Amino acid sequence: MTAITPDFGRGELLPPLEDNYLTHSRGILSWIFTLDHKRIGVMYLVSVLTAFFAGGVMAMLIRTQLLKSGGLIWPGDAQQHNAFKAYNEVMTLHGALMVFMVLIPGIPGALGNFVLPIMLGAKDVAFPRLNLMSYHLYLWGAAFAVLAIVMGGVDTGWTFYTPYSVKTDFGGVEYMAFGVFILGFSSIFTGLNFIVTIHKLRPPGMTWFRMPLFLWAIYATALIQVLATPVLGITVLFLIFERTMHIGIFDSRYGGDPILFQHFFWFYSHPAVYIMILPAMGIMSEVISTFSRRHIFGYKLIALSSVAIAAIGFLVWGHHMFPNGQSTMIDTIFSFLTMFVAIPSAIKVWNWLATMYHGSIDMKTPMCYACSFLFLFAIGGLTGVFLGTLSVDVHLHDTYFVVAHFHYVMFGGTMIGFLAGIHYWWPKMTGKMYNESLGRLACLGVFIGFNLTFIPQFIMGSNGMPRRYASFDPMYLPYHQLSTIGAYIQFASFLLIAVYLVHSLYSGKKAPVNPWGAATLEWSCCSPPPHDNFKFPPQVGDPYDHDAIVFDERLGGYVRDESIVPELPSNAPHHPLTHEL
Amino acid sequence: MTQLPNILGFLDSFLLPPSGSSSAANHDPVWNAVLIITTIFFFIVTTIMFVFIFKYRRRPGLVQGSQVTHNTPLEIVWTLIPLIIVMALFGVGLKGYMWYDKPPSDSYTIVAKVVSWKFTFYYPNGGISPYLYVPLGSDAHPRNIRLQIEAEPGDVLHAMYIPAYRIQRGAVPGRITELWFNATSVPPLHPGSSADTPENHFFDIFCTQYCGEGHSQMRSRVYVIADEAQFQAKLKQIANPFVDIDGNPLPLATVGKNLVDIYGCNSCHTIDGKPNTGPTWENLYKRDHTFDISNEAGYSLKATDSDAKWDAYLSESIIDPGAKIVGGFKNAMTNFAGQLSGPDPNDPKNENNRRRLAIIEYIKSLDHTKGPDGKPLYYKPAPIPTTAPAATESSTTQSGKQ
Repeated sequence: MTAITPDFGRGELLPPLEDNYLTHSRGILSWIFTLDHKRIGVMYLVSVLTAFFAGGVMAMLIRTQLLKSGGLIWPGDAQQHNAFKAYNEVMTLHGALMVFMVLIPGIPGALGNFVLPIMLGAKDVAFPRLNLMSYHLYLWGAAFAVLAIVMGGVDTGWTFYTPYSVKTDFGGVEYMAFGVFILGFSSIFTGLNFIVTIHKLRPPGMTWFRMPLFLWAIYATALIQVLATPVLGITVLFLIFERTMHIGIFDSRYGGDPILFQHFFWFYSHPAVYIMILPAMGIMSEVISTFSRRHIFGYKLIALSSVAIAAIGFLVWGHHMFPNGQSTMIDTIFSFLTMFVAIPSAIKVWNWLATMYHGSIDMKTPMCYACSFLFLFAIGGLTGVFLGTLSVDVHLHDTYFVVAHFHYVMFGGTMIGFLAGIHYWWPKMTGKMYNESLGRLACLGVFIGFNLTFIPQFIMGSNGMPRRYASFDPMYLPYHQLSTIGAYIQFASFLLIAVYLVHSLYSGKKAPVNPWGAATLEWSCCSPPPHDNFKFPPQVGDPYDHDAIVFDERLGGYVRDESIVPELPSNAPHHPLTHEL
Repeated sequence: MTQLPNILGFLDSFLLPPSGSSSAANHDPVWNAVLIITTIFFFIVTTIMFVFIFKYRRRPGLVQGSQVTHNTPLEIVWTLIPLIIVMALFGVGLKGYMWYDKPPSDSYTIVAKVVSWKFTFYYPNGGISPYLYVPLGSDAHPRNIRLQIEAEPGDVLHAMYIPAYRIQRGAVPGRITELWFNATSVPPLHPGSSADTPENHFFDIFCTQYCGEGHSQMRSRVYVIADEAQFQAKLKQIANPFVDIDGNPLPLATVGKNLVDIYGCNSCHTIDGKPNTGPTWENLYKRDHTFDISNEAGYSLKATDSDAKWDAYLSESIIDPGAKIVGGFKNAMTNFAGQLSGPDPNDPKNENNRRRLAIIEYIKSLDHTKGPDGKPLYYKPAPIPTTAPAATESSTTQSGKQ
């Protein structure tokens, strides 16, 4: 091999632009059975956004029903509540779709798949076939969810609490539970693949503490996916057995314990909250550093706090059952541990703020989402302190306060982070720039709509409005109406996002290699990337060293300034795998 | 600083329901502490963010300052301060929780039976009511009420939540859970009430654990009675549904109407003609009915059938609901044999039989067929007894568990 230093910024040594991963091969089968992590990522993105749309329509139905105290779409009262069954089904589908098919696979499946190998300077993930299988299992899981709707629906809530889920006469529970089981394996395969990829495919010079923080976040997420998801799998299998064979593990009529189900379920589902939020935090670290043109502050603390969240996140599940008949001792222990999990998240927020200090902050759309994240996640995290404090939780448990709290974390955190990531990597994925003004406008719409939806829910929750109510006392009506208006604003904003993103595919400006001035490796291969990402293993530097990245007028994007040679650690490992690929 | 409690008071009047018990007084200071601390942190974070966004916005001529990448003392400080604060909050939260967790030994125990989708309160004197009636206490002279929450075996999970008292507890089949409180104020007029009557002065009780289509309507009320003599009179009246609070006898159909609330008939039977799990009671009496299932071959009921045949049918449908199933319905009704019939179902003196007859009287009163004279054609109101029969406590207590 001749000793040429590849000039990635100008793309001279890269394949011609016509040949990229989108045009490399043609035909529907070349997508369905592709082993290319980028195509799998794009297919994940399309699927997840489709599920997000379906879940969003459910949310609109929920909010419309709650415009009237007796229910607008499915009215009922104390004597007449058959109509509420439809509401309960929609409420269940909203939760199940959003959690199992959007939030959990969303960032790792769509963005992680696309970005992770390129960030490592690798040609693909470690197990491309496992990666494809993970996506196919996602589709099978989705098919079972649709089957569940056809076979009689589900009205158990996304939590499937026993004994209700055993007794309900809705016929789709087994199918939905089996769908969740399959989706769980999809998630495990993704996690396993990412762990191995990060361990084995890092290029020479990229030590653990020179990895981009998004990779740290994805790594911590993958650990949770692999360790916690099997528990969910066995739990939903037991649920299916309980429903079909009455094995007597969860149903008290057969000697089972319904609270045991809650322990099993939350042993997965609380760590699952961190499966959702950690990748979003990883995106935050990338976006804030890039758009502040500033080295990330406290790199090691951010990296290690991701791992700390993953670890502590396993020990707090009991706080979902405080007043549900747990022993006082267990309540005490879980409240104590729950308090600890607040700390690593707080550390990250401080570090992101410090990263903005003395930056050169460019409020492009991804940065607008990042700042929304800081605002909304602060509310989501701080309201968690109310719920972790035992005597306050006794009042707020299972009220709309909880609903608002977890929406601030899951939507204000995960979905806003996901949107930041989509807008950040969109030029890389599609090779097109979207309309910046519309992007910011939609971000503002989502922000205002979201707060208008959920701040009233905090207030009615602390005033005693219980969750999962298809009808409610008229005293809560004004809050519900405000909340519904906010939800409509959000929906309109999302339609706007869909419009300008699709529009950009057809008539967007061509994206430069590095439109934002980021220093991580994915911005040194062209947009969209070629089929095998890199012809030569890229040069690894500090992922947050923005001094070496300068704006080039001719290209309309940033390039690496070759006069600044990145400093490599002297003990940089030479990794054979990267060369073979 | 003296302004602070007022601001908090204003905020709490907006954020929290009215405070009605010592448990609310136990909760609210902790709530306030968390509210103040989290609000301060929220403003610190967002203020710094907005200031930085403005101050360091990218613009021509902006010179970036030092690119410091970490600062260990600073990072230790912003880790330790939140840690100390959340540990303190854990402490005060635990203290409040321990107080809530254990009812005082001098509590007055009321059994709260929880079934889908209904709360029913069993008082120590044998009275049964869909509502919770408690005496007024104070901090100096507490009247502690202990609610023993019993879920029906085989039922789904429920939870009992009283927002004004800031307390809730899950109802788990096969376990007995507890709540306790000392009501320290008489409830204000419930928001949204049409008239300012005593019936509209109550605190809400909600079910907070999702339990199916009736979940959002699974509600009850707490009435707090300030006067001790009135409270005792109320208890007596609850134990004897045949009289009003002053001890005067009530019309039998009115008694039946009240009993329907207690026994929960209305969770399956409407009185407005709409179908539900069971047949509607409106115009049920003296109509033509056919039966899908019957223990008597070829059995049918007609408007022209005798009063005695109708009475026998209605009684049987309560005591042995599966015997005859009206066309188009499933056999889904609870058997009320123990609760609404005595050892001899025809003994007119037996309390349970009398209750059943009152409910039947109420069902008959829902027939709106008018005769030529404009009066009800079939329904003949039973005479109001001149003297109130004494309540027989034993029969109601034995009806406890089904």
